[in-house]
Amino acid sequence: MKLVEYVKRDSMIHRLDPRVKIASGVVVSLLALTFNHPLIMMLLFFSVVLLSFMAKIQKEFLSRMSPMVPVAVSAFILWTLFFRFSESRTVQGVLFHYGFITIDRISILYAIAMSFRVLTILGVPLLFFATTTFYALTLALVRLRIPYIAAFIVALSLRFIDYGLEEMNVIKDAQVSRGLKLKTRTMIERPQNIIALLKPLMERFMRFQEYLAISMDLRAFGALPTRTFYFELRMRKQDYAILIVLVAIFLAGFLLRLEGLGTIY
Amino acid sequence: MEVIKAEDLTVEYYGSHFFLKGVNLSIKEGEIVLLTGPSASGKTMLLYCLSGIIPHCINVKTYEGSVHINGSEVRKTKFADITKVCGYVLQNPTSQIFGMSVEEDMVFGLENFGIERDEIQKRLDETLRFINLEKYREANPLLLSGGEKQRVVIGSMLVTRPRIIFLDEPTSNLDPRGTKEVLSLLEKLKETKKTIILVERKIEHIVPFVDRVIALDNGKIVSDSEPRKFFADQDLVKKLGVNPPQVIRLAYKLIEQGINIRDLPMSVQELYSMLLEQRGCLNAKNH
Amino acid sequence: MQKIIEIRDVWFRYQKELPWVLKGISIEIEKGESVAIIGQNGCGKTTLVKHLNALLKPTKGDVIINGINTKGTETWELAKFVGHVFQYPDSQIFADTIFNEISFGPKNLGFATNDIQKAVDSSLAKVKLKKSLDTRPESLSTGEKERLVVADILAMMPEILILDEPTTGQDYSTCTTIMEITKELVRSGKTVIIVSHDMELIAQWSDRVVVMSEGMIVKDGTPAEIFTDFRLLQSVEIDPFQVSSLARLLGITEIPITVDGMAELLRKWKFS
Repeated sequence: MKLVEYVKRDSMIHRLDPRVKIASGVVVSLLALTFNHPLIMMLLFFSVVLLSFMAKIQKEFLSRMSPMVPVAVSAFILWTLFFRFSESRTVQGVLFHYGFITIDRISILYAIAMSFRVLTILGVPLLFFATTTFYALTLALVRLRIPYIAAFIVALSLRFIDYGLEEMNVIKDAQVSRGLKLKTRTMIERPQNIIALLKPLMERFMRFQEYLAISMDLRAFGALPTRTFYFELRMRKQDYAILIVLVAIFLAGFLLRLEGLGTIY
Repeated sequence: MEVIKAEDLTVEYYGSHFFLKGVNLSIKEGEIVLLTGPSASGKTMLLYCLSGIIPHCINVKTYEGSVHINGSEVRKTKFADITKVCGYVLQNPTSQIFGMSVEEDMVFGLENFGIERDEIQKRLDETLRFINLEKYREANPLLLSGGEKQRVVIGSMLVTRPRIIFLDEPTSNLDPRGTKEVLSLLEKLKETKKTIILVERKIEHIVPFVDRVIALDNGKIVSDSEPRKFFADQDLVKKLGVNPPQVIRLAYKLIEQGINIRDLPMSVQELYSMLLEQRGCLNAKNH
Repeated sequence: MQKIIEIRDVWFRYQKELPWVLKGISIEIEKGESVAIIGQNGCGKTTLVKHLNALLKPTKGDVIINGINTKGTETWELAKFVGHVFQYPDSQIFADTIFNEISFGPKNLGFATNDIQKAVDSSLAKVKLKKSLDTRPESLSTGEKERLVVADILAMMPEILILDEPTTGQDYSTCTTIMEITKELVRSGKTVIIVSHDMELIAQWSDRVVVMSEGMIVKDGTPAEIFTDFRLLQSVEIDPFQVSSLARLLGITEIPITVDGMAELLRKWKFS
């Protein structure tokens, strides 16, 4: 299962300047954090999904989002049960009350909003990485005045995520073949089982990272203070247009929030 | 012209028993040298020392003696300067690939050296042709076959136009097809007169390609000669646990049987000619 | 002899939109056979052997291990019967001592304490690893680690042993040790399946060779039948043995696959 791997397609979104994509991601995340009305949250999330369709990567995007669904569902359950809006205000539509657990209309709506917020915030980077190569990301960071070495390391570290996931599969197969039971009835696994999965992962990880570091030196990484970039970034009309739209959306959102709209309480 | 010299090289890793003891050797420009020996004999360590990976990329407990590349002592030269003349291909292609496309990976080294874009373009086109991967120019190298991946690594190494090339078991993780691809690329490299130093286990195909075999055992050089002479010492070959190519093992048996074999054959063709000659002599004798 | 593995017209793909990786594979393996599976990377051999201990289940067709259909079992249930040694020892070594490493499998299978000790001792002896039980696995050499992971699986006393590229990247003495281990296992009635690129070792140590290409079995026979079939070898891009090529050049009709075999033939040829 690849989480951050670039998916090569020919789409408008792929062709956008990575700096614009970074800015879009930031704006969408900020909007997700600013508002808390469930309808707005759902709108934001579905916009992200719509963008994945526009980028022609909807299948990959949805499959990469699927492990996030349990996270969102847990968020929903926790907030529904424990969000105590009605504590110091008039009890409005309390549906259920027992000890620490309070379920009222507001908390359900809030919980829905929170789960979609989680999905949106997790979905934005997934969409970004699927449509932007690490090279483009590195170059974008450099153009945004981040030193090359730092930018490169950021991009390289992201590669480890997918490497780790792949290695995990191999290790799981190997250990399961030695009788390791992964699905047990009891919630508490023997600690040794977890070590059997994590320790080889650490080992492979360390080995891979060592080799990678040597390989970087072998290709003269960091040899000179300035390096050339064979590929270049160029802002085109579409990029500027999107930037303007982004600024407009951001300002609109900001003002709406000030007016107290878009919130559930 | 001497390109690499090792003098009294004694090196020891931290926390393990791997070491080199008093190694002396000299490699001339254009030579193709094979380092061989049993596991933990120090052959990979020697490769790393001759190429500067030790001490620059790997820290060692002891480093005595010296290694000179083109006259400059490795320990006193900046590694970036060493990489300007040297190219490296290690075992696992995945940890040597940095680009999401073949061209992206191949330009990485050139970008790091600050080479101008036009020059990068020129070298990129040239090298893609050389490694025969032009149609995979924009492909993701990690999705290619093992042999193709290793060719990308070789290509990324060649774009910087190194004069000395170090290869650490380049075919050890490859299937038969991949091994053949890489070996034929090495054959092409031989013609470019670069100096090549490699550690390789699958010696059957490598043997006709190398000029010189340096064998190590327990950190010391126990043999340094051209392949025919190395394999002629059957006791040493056995002691080192080296498995010679079939034609050589066959030649050993034929010598036992009393057939006169002057020089050990390095290929099927050579043994074939030798045997015909032998039969010819026999027939001549019988008539 | 009893059929211990039956693969019946197995088709496999990872997902519906992806291409078929295995296309109609059918094989029967009897108890006590020593089988090698060869082919270029990507031909499906690793995918196929993963079906033997239910790591993968067929999309179509059935895999029957000792009478049990893998569709109804989990890998850890089959572990007592089918041992699978994976390619890189580092992907499974995790314990702080050799004893804890090797006893992991038996413990998972619920062996009694005495039996665990016996299993560890006997498997260490089988792989000829002369190290004390409290040695740290990290301190072992590559060859020793390879033998350790084989010991890990042998300690579970499986009837079937699968080895996925056990000799890749190993030196010659480790390779021969591994092959000797498999020979002894087969002698004691176990079934061994090896996936490998090391053709010479296979020719020497296996009874049966299955050649795969692009998800299908291209040929299934003895090493002699496979490695003398030049047309087959060419179609799967495997070079014939040097001695085979030499024999062909010399016009010798009986094609050898080992050096000893060729030496014998040459003795006769000399005087023809």
